[in-house]
Amino acid sequence: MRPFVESFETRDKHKYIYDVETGTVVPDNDVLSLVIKKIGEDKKDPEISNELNRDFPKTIVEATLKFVRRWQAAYGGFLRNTSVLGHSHAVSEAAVYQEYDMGATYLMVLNLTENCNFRCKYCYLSEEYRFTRNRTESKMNFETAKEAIDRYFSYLERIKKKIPNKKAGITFYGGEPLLEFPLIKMIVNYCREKEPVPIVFNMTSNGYLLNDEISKFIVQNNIHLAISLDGSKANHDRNRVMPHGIGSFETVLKNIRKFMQAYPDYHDIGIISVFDVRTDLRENVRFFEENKLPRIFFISEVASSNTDYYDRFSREDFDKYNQTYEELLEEYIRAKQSGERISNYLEMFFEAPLSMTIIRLRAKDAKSKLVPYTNTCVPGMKISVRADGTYDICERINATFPVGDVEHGINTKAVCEVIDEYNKAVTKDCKNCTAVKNCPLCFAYTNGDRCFSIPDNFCKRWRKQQLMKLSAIYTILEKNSHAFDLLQNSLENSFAFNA
Amino acid sequence: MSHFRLFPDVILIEGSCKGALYFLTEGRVIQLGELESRIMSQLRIASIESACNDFDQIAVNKLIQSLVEDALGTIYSEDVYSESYIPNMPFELRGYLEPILIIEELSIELYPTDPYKIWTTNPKVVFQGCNSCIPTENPVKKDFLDTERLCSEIQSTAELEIKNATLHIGDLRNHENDIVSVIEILRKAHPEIDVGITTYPEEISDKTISLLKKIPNLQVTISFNAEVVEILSVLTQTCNSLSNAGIPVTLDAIFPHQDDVNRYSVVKDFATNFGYQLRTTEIIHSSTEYIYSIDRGKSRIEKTDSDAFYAKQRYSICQYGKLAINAYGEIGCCLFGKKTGSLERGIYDWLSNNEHRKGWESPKRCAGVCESCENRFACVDCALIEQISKTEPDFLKTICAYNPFSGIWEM
Ligand code: SF4
Ligand code: SF4
Ligand code: SF4
Repeated sequence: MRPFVESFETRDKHKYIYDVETGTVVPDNDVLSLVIKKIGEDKKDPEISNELNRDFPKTIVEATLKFVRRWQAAYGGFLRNTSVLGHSHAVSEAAVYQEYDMGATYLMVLNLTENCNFRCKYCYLSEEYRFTRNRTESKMNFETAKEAIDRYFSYLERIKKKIPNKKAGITFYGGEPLLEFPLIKMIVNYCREKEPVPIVFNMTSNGYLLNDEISKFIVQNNIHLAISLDGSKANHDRNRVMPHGIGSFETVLKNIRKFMQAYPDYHDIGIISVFDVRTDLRENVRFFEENKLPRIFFISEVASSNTDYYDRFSREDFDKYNQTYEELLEEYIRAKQSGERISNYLEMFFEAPLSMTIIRLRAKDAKSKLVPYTNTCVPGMKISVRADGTYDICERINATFPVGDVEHGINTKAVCEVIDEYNKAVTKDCKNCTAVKNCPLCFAYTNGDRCFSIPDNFCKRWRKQQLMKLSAIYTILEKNSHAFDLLQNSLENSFAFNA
Repeated sequence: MSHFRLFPDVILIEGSCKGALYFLTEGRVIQLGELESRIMSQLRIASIESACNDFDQIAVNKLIQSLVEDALGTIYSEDVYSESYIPNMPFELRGYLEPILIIEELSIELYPTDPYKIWTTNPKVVFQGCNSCIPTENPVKKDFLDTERLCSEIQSTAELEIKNATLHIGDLRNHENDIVSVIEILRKAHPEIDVGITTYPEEISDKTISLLKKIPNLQVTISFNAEVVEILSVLTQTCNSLSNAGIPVTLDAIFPHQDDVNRYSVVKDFATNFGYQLRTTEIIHSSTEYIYSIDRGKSRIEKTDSDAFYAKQRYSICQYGKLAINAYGEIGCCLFGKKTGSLERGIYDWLSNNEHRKGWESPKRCAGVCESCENRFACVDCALIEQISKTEPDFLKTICAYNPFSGIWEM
């Protein structure tokens, strides 16, 4: 038996133990960590008691010993037998079918066009990133979209017999999907006529082409719209530029405001905001406070795999960014501790990354046998359809892992190969990892040229970050035990269906 | 300053007057006294020293000492945060990621009859009626659901996962062939399903037994009037015949509460002697006459492990996973509860409108008096009583003697 726990301290230097198996955080009065350590050294209870009774009250030692033993026996917590660890086996097509048969698929992403009217400097689908496709003139035709949808709907028709409340989604993606607005209209009308289960439409757009006609259509069809806006003019225009380098801020902001004016009660519109180390975070906090804008759906960092994007920044840029980050984090912690109102930007900036650690997987949460480690999706939960009708497992994965096409449907053999490759290359050491309950290393995060790999030093860094996150979370909870109650509700709602 | 904290598998639930410790790993529910409860509530938010100031110091130290000795908690020198063990992430997957729907129990009422004249006494609640074959309403109407219609609806559920089905049959003798065809259809649509029937002893003739014998793995529940003195001899005969035919038997004792003689122990001894599982159904007429339910005491508090504890926070334990169709083709969670669907609109329509969730997700913590009771995650009842006690708080007294406001079992 070896300990399978991590230790961390809160800002007030209170000690805690994170039990990996159950995901439970237990305060440590030193006796707890020592008992776990000594059991891990294969010592028997009388021996442990004898050793600890010298420094701690006998009753506390006995109680802790009993607690650790029963916790281990009932929930497999604190310590585990290293010899029983399994290895991931090659997955079978039957296992993949079974997963789909349980209704795993819930989203189809239609990449309507590979073209875009912007030239954002961090664009994932550009020369900036290796192994991803770049901008092309290629676009989807209605026949391809229809074939993809027909297949998807016939699957949903079958699944709804097992899951009468099944809901599903279709996301319009690109390139810039609004370049293909007539196609969007045809698709939405077709779906509304044929949908076997309620379908939610989502669209991610740069907002430049959002006009009255499009806005009206979005509202009428309840399309969930995410518009990219990186914050203040300076922050936004530094990266989100049009051909010839002209910033897009003014037009995008004007369009969003116009939309809000026309449809003040429409709540399925939100902002996606991207940042890098030169983003002035404080300016963004101010910007979103001062401007009445739709709520922020999420804030994400410019991806760092398969790119030299970050080489453009200097040491000073990183230092300055890190300093502001730390200051803002302390501001966030203080505000959460006292239950004060927090700006939407600050909240999303810190709470979204913390949320996976707050709502972490627990001992009895079922994980797919196909991908038993990390928090990746199961390939096939989403089907991303390229403009030419080829299927990918995600719109964020590069073009080197196709898994079927509209003509033949999902190729489960190809899916198995993708999973096996991933499990071999990425998850080989996960079974011993203490961050396994909330690891974000998914297929898209790790894909290279027809292979997967863990970004340099990722695992060590991630485990360290987990402890930092736990420290921040419990520093908050020590002063305000209800600080994250709302998060729980909003996460539940985000999966639910509110068409 | 020092602070007492419970270990994560021990949870304090506070009631209006007293508290209880739910020791999840052992499934034990430890009732606290009034003073102990107040001290525990204080220790949750303040140091041991401050609790000693506010309460009798000896009592505080004695309580802490006994909790530590029982390994229920421990002492820290700082004001640390402690959390409880949870088996799953604290939210359910819905909508997009909705899991496969599982019906644990499908109840179907067929050809209801009322040989014990229960409906003529104007009952207020048929308490745990789901164990019996008592008609779900006064069976004066005769336009019963036809089996053909029922069979076609059952066929349409073939893709759903249904684990058990029970047919609650009144007039079995005159409809034997229909019943057999319903069972056949159930088995065809759901090859793994466990099927049972519940009927009156009077309905089981030798001819019936020879027919039932042909149905593999059938469980028979005999629902009998426990207040008829000579019932035991009839039962002995019926049970023997069923046993000889190799048909497993469960008993359901109906207590119409026509008088206040308690015959529970007689029936219990009978069941124990024969090795039969015994369930009960009670007819409750009014909350003011106080014809008490047979088991109102502390034995209501059940073993509660972590699964049970968290399930009871979210669900109605008796209704969860149930789907019921009465003899008139109406659909609800429980045969005796509210019906919000109909076979005309179909089972899928009912399920996809989330009607089942209304019953499944009405935990005891939301029910009237029980909301204020520390035992609310440990005691199980018929949700019908819970529903009535929201509007008539007095009603609960008939089935539970505990008064959470005084902390006393008022037997
Ligand atoms: S951090 Fe690395 S080792 Fe740990 S779960 Fe993630 S991929 Fe596996
Ligand atoms: S029935 Fe209600 S009041 Fe009685 S013990 Fe149960 S929860 Fe408490
Ligand atoms: S409410 Fe529950 S216990 Fe009462 S009859 Fe219905 S299912 Fe049975």
